[in-house]
Formats: sequence, structure tokens, C-alpha cells
Amino acid sequence: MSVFHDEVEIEDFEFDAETQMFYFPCPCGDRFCITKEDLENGEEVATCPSCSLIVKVIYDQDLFMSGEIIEAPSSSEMKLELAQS
Amino acid sequence: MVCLISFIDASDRAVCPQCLKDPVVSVAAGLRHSLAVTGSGAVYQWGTGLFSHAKRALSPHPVPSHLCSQLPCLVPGLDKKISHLVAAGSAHSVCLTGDGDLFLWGSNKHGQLTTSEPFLSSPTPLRRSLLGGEKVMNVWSGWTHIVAQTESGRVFSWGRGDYGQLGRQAATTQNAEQQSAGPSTGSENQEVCLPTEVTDLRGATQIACGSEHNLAIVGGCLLAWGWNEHGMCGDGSQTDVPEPQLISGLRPLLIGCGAGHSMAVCATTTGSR
Repeated sequence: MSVFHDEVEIEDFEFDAETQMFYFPCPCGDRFCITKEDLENGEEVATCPSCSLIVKVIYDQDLFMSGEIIEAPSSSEMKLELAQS
Repeated sequence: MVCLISFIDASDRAVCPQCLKDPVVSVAAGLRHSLAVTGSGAVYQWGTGLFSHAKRALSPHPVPSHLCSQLPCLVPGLDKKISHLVAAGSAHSVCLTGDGDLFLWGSNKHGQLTTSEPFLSSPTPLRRSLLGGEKVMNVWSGWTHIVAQTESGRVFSWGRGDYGQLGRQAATTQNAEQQSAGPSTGSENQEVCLPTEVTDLRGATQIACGSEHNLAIVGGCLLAWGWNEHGMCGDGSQTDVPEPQLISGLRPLLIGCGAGHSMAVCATTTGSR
């Protein structure tokens, strides 16, 4: 059974564009993290790499998806990939 | 909790804020906000850490400037008080006045403000009757719990206690009748946590709070309690410690807690002499 250390709103996380990860401080001194991709897939548990503690991310998945800037597919390869998946 | 107080300019150098002209006598830092008390007893707050909490709690009303200022901003509501000391939790603020009164504001997510409101934007006094009617002489804060010592040396704790941070059995929701809003109907059903004495800590000469654990020196002995996943309570285990527990064989002189670690400066242990 998992007990959340806390429930944290997505706006309180810091986003690192380079790693595409959201971060929030963990009481141990490390950071809870969750990838943007996980959030887009409806995952809501951010974990700490140094701890057993986990937090629930409070966000609206639909809103999260719609707020995203999606680059236009630039190559035919991309289209092919999408069609296959 | 750990103090990382600084202003960093564009070249990554610490700078001295021009708006704090008086000498500073006490500082504290939360996760994303900071506090300072000047020699004249005025309390300043800056950092945007409380902004989102305030916005969610106060909407559609605007967020007061002291909760979202990039520079030290005078905290309103303490005009006639001379403050001596500040402490900060992850998203709450505490100040102690020269009269021995505690004022609390910020996030009340874990009942650490002893109110039924989810958020307090202005400093709100803690009734002295909750602390045995005594003046408060010192106060410390973890991320979401608060520890205070009164003039007679009694130590009280309140706020979040699920890792043993309070050093005592967590009382269940109590004194519902004191909630000004009456019976709670909405989803914001706030658990009220009232200060309760931790008798093992009476007469403590030093106390330090980590994020979710604590150290104290009582009668020359080092005690630890709270979250222990990383061994912060010094008993060699990783099991949370619900009550102040002796770390034997040490003669502590000075203690300090990081978020997830503990340190003590000790005299040579008696055993090695």
C-alpha cells in the first residue's frame, strides 16, 4: 500500500526543459520527480530517487495536454511513426 | 529547518538587499520563502513560495504583496508588535514577539497554524492559553510542524505528526467548538491540531528541527525523534521514532538539523577519557 507523503499541485513543481522532468523538493534533501511523458499518460505519482517517499501530483490531464505546445511534424518519418503507433 | 538565505544577482554573487536598512536580528528560510526581523522588531518576508497556496486559498481575492514579493516586504498586521525571532516551515511563517506571543501565517495544510482555515494570509496570534498560559521564549519549525518553548521551560509541539515529528502521540482532531466557521461543510475540512506538551523535553537547552525530524539537548543529553528513514535519529535504525529518544554516549554542545540529516558538536565522550 502506498501512502503519499503529500499531494502537490503541478504548478508548484519546477519544470526542467532539458530533462523534460517536473521536480519538487523532498524532505530528505533530494527531489521528487516525474517525467512530462508520465503526466501525459495519466501517471500521478512523483518519486524521490533517494527515498521511499512519494507524492501525488494534482493536475488535470486534459488541461495538461491542451496547454502543451506541439511542434508540427517536420518530416515524413514522424508521420510514419505516428501512423504505426 | 535549514537556512539558505541569500539574494543572488545576475553574476551569482550574494547581494545585500537595499530595502532592509536596519540591522537584521533573525532570519529564517522555508522552501521558497524567507523571513527576517530587523533590530526595530519589524518582520519582512520575500520569495514566491506561498503565492500559489495563497492564490488557491484566496481566489478570487488578490494575493497580498508580502506573499509574492521578490524583495523583502514588510509583513502587515504586526505594526504594534516588536518581533524578536522568525521561523519558517515549508510554506508557513512564524514570528515570536518580545511579549512572548507567537504569530502564525501561511499554509495550514497539516494543522500547523492551529486554525480551521486552510490558509492564513496575515499573522494570526496563537492564544497563550494553548501553551499553558505562558510566554513563549523560543520557537522552531520543521516543514509542517512547530515546536515552542515557554518561559518555564515547557516544550509544546503541534502540526504534522505522522512520522513522529511531534514527539508525542498525535492527538485526534480536538476542540471543534473553537472553529469560528462553525461546522465544516465543504471539502476544505481542516484538521485542527493544538499544541500539546512533550514532557520529556521540559527544560531543553537546545532544540533543532529538520524537515520531519528533531534534535534536542535536555539535561546535557542528546535526544532525537521523528522521521528516521535516513538514520537522522541516530539509533542506527531506519524506523521512525515517535518520542524523544536518547542518543547515548555523547556530550552534545551544539546541535543542528538538515532536511534529512543531523549533526551534533560534542565534547569528548566520557567513555574515551
